[in-house]
Amino acid sequence: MTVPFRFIHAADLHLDSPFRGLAKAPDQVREVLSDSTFAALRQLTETAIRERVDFIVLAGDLFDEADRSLKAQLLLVREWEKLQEHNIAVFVIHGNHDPLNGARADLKLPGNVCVFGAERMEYRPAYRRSGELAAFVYGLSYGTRIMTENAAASYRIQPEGPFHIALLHGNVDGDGEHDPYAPCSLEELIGGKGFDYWALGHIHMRRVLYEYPHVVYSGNTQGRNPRETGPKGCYIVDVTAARAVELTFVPLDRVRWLEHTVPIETAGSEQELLQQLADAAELLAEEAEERPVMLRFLLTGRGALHHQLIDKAVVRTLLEQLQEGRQRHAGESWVYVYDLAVHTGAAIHWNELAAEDSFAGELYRLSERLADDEAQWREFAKDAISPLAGHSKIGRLLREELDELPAQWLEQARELTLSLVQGTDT
Amino acid sequence: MRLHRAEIDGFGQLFGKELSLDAPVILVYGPNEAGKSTMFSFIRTMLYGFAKRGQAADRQEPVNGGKHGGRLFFGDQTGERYVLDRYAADGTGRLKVRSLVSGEDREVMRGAEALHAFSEGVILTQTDWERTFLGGVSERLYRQLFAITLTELQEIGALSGDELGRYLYHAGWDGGKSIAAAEKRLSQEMDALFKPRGTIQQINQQLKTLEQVEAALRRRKDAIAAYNDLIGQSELLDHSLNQLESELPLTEARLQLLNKACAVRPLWLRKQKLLIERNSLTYALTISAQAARSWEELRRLRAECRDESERTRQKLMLLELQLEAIRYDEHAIRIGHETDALLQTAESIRMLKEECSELDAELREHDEAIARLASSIAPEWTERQLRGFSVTVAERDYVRNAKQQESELSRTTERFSAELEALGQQEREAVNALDEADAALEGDRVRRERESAAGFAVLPLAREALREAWNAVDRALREWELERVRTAGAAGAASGSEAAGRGAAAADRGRAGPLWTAAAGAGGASLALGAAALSGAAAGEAAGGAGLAALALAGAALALVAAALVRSRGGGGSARAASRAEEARRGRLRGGVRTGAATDSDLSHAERRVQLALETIVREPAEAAAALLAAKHHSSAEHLLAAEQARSQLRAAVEGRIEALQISERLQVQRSELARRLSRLRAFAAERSEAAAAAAQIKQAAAGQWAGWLAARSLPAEMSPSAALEAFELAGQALQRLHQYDRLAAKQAAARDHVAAFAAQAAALCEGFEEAERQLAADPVLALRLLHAESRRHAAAEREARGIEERRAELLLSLNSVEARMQELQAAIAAQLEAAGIDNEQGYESALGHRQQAALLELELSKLEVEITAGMPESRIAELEELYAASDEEQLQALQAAAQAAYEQLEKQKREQLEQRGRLRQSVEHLFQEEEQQQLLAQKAMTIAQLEADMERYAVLSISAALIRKTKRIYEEERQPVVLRKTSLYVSKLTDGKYIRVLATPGETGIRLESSDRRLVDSSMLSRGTAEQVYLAMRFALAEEAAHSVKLPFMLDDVFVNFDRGRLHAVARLAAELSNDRQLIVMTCHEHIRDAMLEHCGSAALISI
Repeated sequence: MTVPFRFIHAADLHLDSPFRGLAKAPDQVREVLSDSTFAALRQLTETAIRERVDFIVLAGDLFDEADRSLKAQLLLVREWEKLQEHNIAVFVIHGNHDPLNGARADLKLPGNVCVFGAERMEYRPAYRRSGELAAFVYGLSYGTRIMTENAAASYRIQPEGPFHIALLHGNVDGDGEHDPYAPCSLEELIGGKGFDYWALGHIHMRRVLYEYPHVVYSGNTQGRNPRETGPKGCYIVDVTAARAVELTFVPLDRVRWLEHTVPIETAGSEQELLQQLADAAELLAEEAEERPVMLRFLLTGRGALHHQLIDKAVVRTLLEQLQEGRQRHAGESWVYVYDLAVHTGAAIHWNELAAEDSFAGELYRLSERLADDEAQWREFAKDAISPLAGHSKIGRLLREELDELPAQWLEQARELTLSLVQGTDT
Repeated sequence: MRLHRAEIDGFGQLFGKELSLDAPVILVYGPNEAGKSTMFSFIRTMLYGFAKRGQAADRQEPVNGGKHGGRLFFGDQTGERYVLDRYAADGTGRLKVRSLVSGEDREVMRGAEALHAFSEGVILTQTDWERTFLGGVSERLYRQLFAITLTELQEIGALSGDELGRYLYHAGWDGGKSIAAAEKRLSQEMDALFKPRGTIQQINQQLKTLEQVEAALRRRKDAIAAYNDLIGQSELLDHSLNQLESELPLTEARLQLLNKACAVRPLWLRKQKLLIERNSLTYALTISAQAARSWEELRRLRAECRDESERTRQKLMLLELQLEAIRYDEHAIRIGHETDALLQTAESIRMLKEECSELDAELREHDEAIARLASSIAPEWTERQLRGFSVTVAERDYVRNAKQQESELSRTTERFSAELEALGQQEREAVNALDEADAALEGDRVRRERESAAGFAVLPLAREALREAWNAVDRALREWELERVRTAGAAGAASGSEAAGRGAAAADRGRAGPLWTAAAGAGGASLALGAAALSGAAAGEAAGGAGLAALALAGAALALVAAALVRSRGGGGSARAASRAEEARRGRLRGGVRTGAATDSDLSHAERRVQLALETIVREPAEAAAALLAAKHHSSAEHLLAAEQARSQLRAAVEGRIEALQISERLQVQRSELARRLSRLRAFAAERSEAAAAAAQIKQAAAGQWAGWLAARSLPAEMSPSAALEAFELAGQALQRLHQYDRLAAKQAAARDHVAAFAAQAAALCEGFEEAERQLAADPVLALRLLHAESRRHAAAEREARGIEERRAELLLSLNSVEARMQELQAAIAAQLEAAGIDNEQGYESALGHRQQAALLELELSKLEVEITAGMPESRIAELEELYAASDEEQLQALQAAAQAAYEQLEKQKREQLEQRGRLRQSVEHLFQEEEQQQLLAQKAMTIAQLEADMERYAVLSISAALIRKTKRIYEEERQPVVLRKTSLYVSKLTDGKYIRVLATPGETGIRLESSDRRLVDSSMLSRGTAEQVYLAMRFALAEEAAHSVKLPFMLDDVFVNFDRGRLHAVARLAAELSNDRQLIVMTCHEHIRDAMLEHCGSAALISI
């Protein structure tokens, strides 16, 4: 039997890290965005106090060492001091973005904060605020930016602990979208190690990999780029005396990134489309619970409007109108449509086109072949973008993207060319 | 379409000429000007109409006669045959088409409407014609593709026409224009985005920006390192400052002390001087403040005491003087009280006097009233009698008894006389009643005698005897009757009884019915009885009784009937009577039966008994018996009636006798009663008379007694008891008055005594007072008042003297006490002097002055002390004292200057360090607030984002462009249109495999040829012959594509002239091949061409003209 207790599991705060993937934005939006990671941190503190949690575990990447943000480290300590006033302990490991060898401001950590070292796995008892021993917390920080060995393998429980919470910053089961740091398999975590709760960090997408023992990514606390959409926050974990674990997600994000797909079939004109987009933005703003929303519209489908939309100027005008239509006041929720991605297609009958003995048909068949044959596609694409890839700076800067040669380029190119080729006589 | 025959009516040089064209290949051979071209033109004209008049060469007006125009026989693709008429006279665009279907065919094809429509010949417009029969191929196209002369073959431009372009490429190709436009657009956008060596392109610019941002970032200090550095410095500074903080106060204190020392030195000097002064006056300070205050107090008190003592003495003297002035008489005061007492009674004396006069009046009134009352009792009565007359209760009672007795006696007398009168009256009435009774008795007797004369003489028996006798007779008679009936037969009796029964029944009925019915019934019964009686009488003697009984019954019945008639309830009564009659009847019947059963002896025996019985009742029994037994032997109606009459007579007689006897008895009783009563009355009357006499005697005695009593009281003798009672009342009242009179008289005497005594007393008092004595005679009260006033005057003087004396005593007392106090004070002053050790008061006063001075000095000293030491702790004061002790003015100044310098130095150091720390903190704060790093990072991120977006776009554009390029290549290489393929095929055939493919690049003019060794040769580079072969091949191919449905005949006007032999044969072979599904009309003027064609085209028809 253990005493019931409650803690917060959060990770990947990435304080003060700049927003990526946003080409331009008004100053006010930028201000809100640049403050949003801090706002999420403040929310975390408030949530901890409000929900009367016993302690907090932070599974790495609290800030980006590369950003050299003094503010991040300082404000972090200030928030921890606040938690200390409420007798809430904080258990911290550092991840690949904030390794222990990184530049660190000379700050005195309050007594309630326990930072795990990078030498070996350590453990600390965690107490309820009322003083009873609640659990043992185990952790291992990154000493350097890269940890390729399986850190989880070194984790061992102390049998006398009432409940075992492991803090780990790493990639479980090799998520390809993230750096393969501290790789391990889920089976390893759930099989026989004896931990009750794996509080994971590193992957920004919230997910529960397993229950009993719980293997949980809390995700990051604030979406930081167009890919990190939807609510972001932390988990409040309630552990009952019977060791039942109950997870409650609490959104902490100050700004919510959303992507919304709008099919263009139903829109007869640009004006109608604009209206539909504005309505959708309105609706999404309501769903965001008073938060500012960074919204990207994804126009899909095939319709009459496609031919207007292949003109970048038209899209730009639409976007500007969407941005202008909304007044953003400080302290209020707003929606900023930062992108209007056009993934539409001409009203083309693919089957007919595939059989059509025409230039368009031939082009379509060619693209189909390329889509089907990865090697052929890569060769083709590489050849096509060779001016870009050959450019030294660009090649260096965008190596990853250029190497990736995403299939959607082909998709888009096909749509574009078919639209252009067929455009004039329809 | 296949041409069968041409009939040229008139066209150019030709007229009236018919040509059979019914073969796949028509070879028209003839020398120049033979009309080959005219014929060529004719067919074209037939198909597409006449040329305009302006184009005479084409119009070909007939020059040798004939109507301009002709007919063309042809079959369509289904095999139907038609004939086309076209004449210039009908107009350019008009032609007539008629179907050439045979009768049978027509039957078969009846259903085909189109055919039917053409069966009678239809005039069509050129457009309809082309659409229906020429597969929509226009004249221009026909000329370019189907009707080819050498000139037209060489018209390269013809291949770039829009109309042909359609056949070269597929729908949407747009002659490659849109593709070129697309490529252009793509490349424009790409160029705007990026050029590897560009600077103004979007991506290039962003790269530049990025470089700048990165450079700026690199140039920036690392905030964290800077922070750590600043924090380090800050800590050092803090340490140093802390040290300063501890040093500074000490220095400052030293400086302050020295400043103070310098500043207050004059004060200190003054203080020293004052201290010395004060020491000289210290002795005075032995007098305590308390003592000084009490000294003042004592002196003040002493002065006050002196004043007070003086004032008291003066007051005493004044009082003495006043006392001497006051004189008074003791006697006068003494009698004052008596006078006062007397004066208090003066009012009662006055009242007594008034009372005396009132009493006089009252006494007079009483006197009069008494006289009046006495005379009203008796004229001769005076006060003497009255006083002797005593009204006791016993006497009063006696009078009342006498009065009562008298009234009782007179009432008794009256009652007696009334009774006597009433008795006399009764007596008279009783006598009258007796007389009447006697008279009635006499009448009765007479009447009885009269009655006994008629009928049966009944023996004067007593009533009981008579009744007994009658009963015996009756019984005897009944028995007799029975006997008689028994003997004489029961018939008559039975009928009689029956009638009686009916009557009774009727009577029964009548009980409920109306009265008359009852009466009738009763009547019936009586009749029946009558009849029975008659039969009985007829039956014999014995029946006589029965008849009598029946009669009696009938009588009773009649009586009852009468009663019933009178009374309403007679029904019941009659019924009862009837039932009684019934009983009687039964009895009689029984009697009858008995009689019937008796013997004759019994009858006679009965007869005898009757007689015997009669003897006891009737004076003449025999007669009666005879009469009664008349029916003994003769039972006739008369006899029976007579016997019955006799029997009733007898019975009536007996009854009458009994009744008379009863009345007589009653009358006698009445009479004796009356007689007794009379005698009783008389006796009573006598008794009453005696009693009355006795009463009168008593009365007389009472009257005598009363007279005696009156005389004893000397009251008038005629006075009645009532009057006596009245007199008692009056006497009572008079006596009462008398008593009151006596009392009042006594009272008056007493009052007079009082008044006299008062006067005497007053006189005694007034003795010695003149004025009072003078007044005394007139009014002792007034005198007394005067005396009283005098006395009061003296009393007042006395009181005043007394008061003065008291005050004098008080004043003396206070004087004494003041003197004592004075002495006390004096002693206290002396004690204080002694305590201070000073021998006189002046000395003490001056000591007090010194003391005050010393206190002032003390005050100033303490002020100085405060000024010097204000706010300084003890230690500091000590330090200050030390300084003063150790240093003189100059030294102090020097010390102060040194301390000042040291302090300022420290102060400056601290200020500088604080500033430094402030700067550091600001720097730290600045670091925290530092947005530039963040902004640069954001800018970098945004630039990269933009770069990525643009790059992606560029990549898409590049790929798009590549796609188009690649597709174009594929098109060129693999996906050439069918026309080109066919062309390639034909070229390959014509060139015997030298050229394997013909290429037409989209978007580019001209065509190219690919040789068997894969060389590409532009058409412009070909030899004339080869070019013509290529064009021919292309036309074949195009023609093939142009009109799939309607295969128009191909007309070639000597186009092979430049072909070499091999190629000529090749083309001949190709022609043969093509002619399988298309008619070919080849015109030539060359023999070798003709031969070659004929050689390869087996089915060719040669037309030589």
